[in-house]
Amino acid sequence: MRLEKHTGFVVYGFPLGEADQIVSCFTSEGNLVKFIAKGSRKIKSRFAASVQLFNLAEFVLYKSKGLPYLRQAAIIDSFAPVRRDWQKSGAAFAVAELCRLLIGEEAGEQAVFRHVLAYMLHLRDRDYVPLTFDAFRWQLAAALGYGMQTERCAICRQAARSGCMDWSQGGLVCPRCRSRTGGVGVDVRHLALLRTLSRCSFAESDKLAVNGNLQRHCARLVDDLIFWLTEGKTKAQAFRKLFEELRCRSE
Amino acid sequence: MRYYDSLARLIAQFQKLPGIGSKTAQRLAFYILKMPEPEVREFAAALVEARAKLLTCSVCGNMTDSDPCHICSDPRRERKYICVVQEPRDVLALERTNEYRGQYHVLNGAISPLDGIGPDELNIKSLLARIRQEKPEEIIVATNPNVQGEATAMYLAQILKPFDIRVTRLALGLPVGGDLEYADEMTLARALEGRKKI
Repeated sequence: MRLEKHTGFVVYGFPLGEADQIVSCFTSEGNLVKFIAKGSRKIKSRFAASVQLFNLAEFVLYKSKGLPYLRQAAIIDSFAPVRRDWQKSGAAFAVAELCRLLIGEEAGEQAVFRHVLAYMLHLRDRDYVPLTFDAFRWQLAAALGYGMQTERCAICRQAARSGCMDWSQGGLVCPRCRSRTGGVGVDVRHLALLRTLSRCSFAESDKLAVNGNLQRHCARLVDDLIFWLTEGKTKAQAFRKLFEELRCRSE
Repeated sequence: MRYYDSLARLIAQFQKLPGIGSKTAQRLAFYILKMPEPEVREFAAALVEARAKLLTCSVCGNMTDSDPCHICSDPRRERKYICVVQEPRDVLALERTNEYRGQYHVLNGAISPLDGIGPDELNIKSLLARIRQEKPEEIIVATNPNVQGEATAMYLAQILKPFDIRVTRLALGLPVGGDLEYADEMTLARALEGRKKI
């Protein structure tokens, strides 16, 4: 059988030729699947809507030589409220980019798919909260096997209440071991917030009362972790900040 | 197989075009070689002339051979409407309708965070300057009906708020001549949203 079925999020679309697209989809099997959607950039194409970014859809692909071709598509959720709100769009762009950069073609990261799905549904139904987005990214890193140490020094394994975060070492590095490494400085408040973010649900993190400076420092830490994980290839993160700044200005 | 240098160079030049691979480049190169020499000269001259003569309109950003372009300099066009489009070919598409008699503004792209294209890469600053100067009554955002086009439209709506100007978006919905049963739910939802009284 040369037909295969996948359910997943559209995380990237790249124009191909006159009216085709190469679409990247993060599937429920936890893999990144690429396929060609023929004619999907034409205004009357039956695939045009289903291969739009952020869509959760069921795709039937025909495998031939090279990339498979899209034969059928059915939208499960288009996340319309996310598309209509530009702050939510900013976050969703960043989510799509993370999936594209961090998930491999044979990754099998089903837990990551469930995590992304949970966040997209949360983003659809609730207001955008920057701290919840940080919680999503921190937990995403953990789900991908990059859970960072926040209680003990990653080098000497002693309990520590401050130091710096060195991602290549595995997280917190205590002041005694710090001379051997670099990283972003953290104190007891930052570590407590990171620990909270790693275990709370998105609904709980929406309600967290955190002062502005602490939240900004925490966002910087998560940005830094993502920068390290993606080897500095992220582009959408900068736009999310631009969207947030514009929101602040308009308020 | 190794080609003569001049042929290899021609193939390499064709390969630079979007969507042209090595096979198509070879086919085009051999087709050119079979054409009569005057036609080849005319073809080459047209390429060079277009590149040399076409410039960007300093008012709207459209492609033109005179600055300002024929639309911006036409006194019969209505000054109270500016239609914002992504590409110069979108101007051609809208002109084909013969329905719109206002001005245009070409952004030369759309906000696409995944490709690193932000507002600074687009022709937005000149749009703001133009609005301050010309004081139009309405801005019609005619970006593509995809996520990037929507993000651009939302961004424009946000930054145009202080101007106290009417900002509208092209209607989204069913294409003319299609059957309703084949329409997807996203398009149908947009069509329902944008329904109007008859």
